[in-house]
Amino acid sequence: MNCETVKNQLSLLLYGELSFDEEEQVEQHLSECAGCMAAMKRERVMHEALDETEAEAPAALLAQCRRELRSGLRRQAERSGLDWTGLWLRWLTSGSWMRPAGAVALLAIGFFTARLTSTDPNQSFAWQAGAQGGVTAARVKLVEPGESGQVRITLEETRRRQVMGRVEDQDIQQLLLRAAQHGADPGLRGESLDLLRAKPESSEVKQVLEQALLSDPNPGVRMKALEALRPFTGDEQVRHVLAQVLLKDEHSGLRTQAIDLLVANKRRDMVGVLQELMQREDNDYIRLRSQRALREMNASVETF
Amino acid sequence: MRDETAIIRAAQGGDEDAFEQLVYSYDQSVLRLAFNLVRSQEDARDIYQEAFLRVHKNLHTFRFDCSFHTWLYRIVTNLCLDQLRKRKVRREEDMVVQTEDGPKNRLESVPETSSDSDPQRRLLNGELRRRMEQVIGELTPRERAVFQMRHYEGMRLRAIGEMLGTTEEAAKNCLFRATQKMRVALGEFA
Repeated sequence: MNCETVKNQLSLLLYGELSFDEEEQVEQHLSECAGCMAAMKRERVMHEALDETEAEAPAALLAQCRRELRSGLRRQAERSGLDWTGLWLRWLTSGSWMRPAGAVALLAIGFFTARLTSTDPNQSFAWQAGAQGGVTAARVKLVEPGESGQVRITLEETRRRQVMGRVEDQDIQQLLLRAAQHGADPGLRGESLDLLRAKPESSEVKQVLEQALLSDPNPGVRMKALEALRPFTGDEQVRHVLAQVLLKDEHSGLRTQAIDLLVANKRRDMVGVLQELMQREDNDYIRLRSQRALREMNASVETF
Repeated sequence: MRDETAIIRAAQGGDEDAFEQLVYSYDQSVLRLAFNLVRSQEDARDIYQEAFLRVHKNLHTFRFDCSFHTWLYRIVTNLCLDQLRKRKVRREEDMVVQTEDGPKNRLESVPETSSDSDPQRRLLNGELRRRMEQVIGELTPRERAVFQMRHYEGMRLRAIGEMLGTTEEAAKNCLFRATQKMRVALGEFA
């Protein structure tokens, strides 16, 4: 390593962004080269000077930003015309509100169609505790002058509630199926699939598992679906789905699992799939498994 | 106390308390990053507001494929880069900071370190800082963003690359160019 290369690496060395080997080489050179050591000292001075150029935002600015954000959020809600009804609809249809927990599914369902309009313009996050301990949100819909100096106020009020039941319950199962298909995050979809594994004999569950294995964007969720389908590798439809995974899934771990399941039973209907696989697969293990299975079935390794 | 995933999920479900909690967890660092990058209180305020309005509007699309921190900082850095590209930040704005005593030159607000008791050394260090300020102002938006996030925020280049939608190597090159420019500027003080 020459002096020029070392000098170019000094900053990265101070930032701890060199690999172990690069760091070793630079430090070895520094211990033997007075010129580069002097450059290192200058680099340190520069870093220290830079530390002092950091601008700290004044505390008053943060408070101002927070106030403006509250107003901005209110304006955004008004402009979008969604109000909270729109938010509720989006939330309800996204399925993100369904989260299973444990073997007994506990589902919290909230209906945030409205919210309390606070008298304090800076309080845009106000929520009201419900009478039965749930969370209630309310929104003033109408204000009318009443008789004898009274005021009639019409509120839209909503309440969060929880639904509890066993996975065997049809309603719970339907909610889990929906969460597995449309849940907003992979953790939710994966946990729902895990719970649904208890009911794999249901054709609807099997269909959702197959769909998740083929098209869920998250490889962890696809792996859970594959695990759940493991007992059904004799089923023609499941084998067809596994073949699709083997040929098309970009995740080599899933392809490895798929080929292990598919070649466990030497069935002639897999010959074409395995031959096609040999033309496109890069993974050595999968190629080897496919090659061996084709030989054991007395089929040629390639198509002609 | 709920963990961050639970807070995000609650905010995605429309829980405004959770959203507020999320904002308060990150807004100081968001403001610091924006302020250091655009070097203007007015622009930093706009970026702060726009960033969290976007988060509020699009939180339902956040799928936990990356950390919330990465997702949020991606929004903030993109807004800062847009702002820096739109206009060249004026030097006058760079130097002015609002203090309890009114507007003040930002460099004057930086406390002197104890090693600067020697007047000649203090002058030299003050000059050095001024020169560094000037060089930072002359960096390209991307160089400035990478330098800012690495030096002041302490983020790894891999994470910075992810936030800027580029590779670790490209982020490393940006940092290299930024520090090279500073090294040249430092030459006269060596």
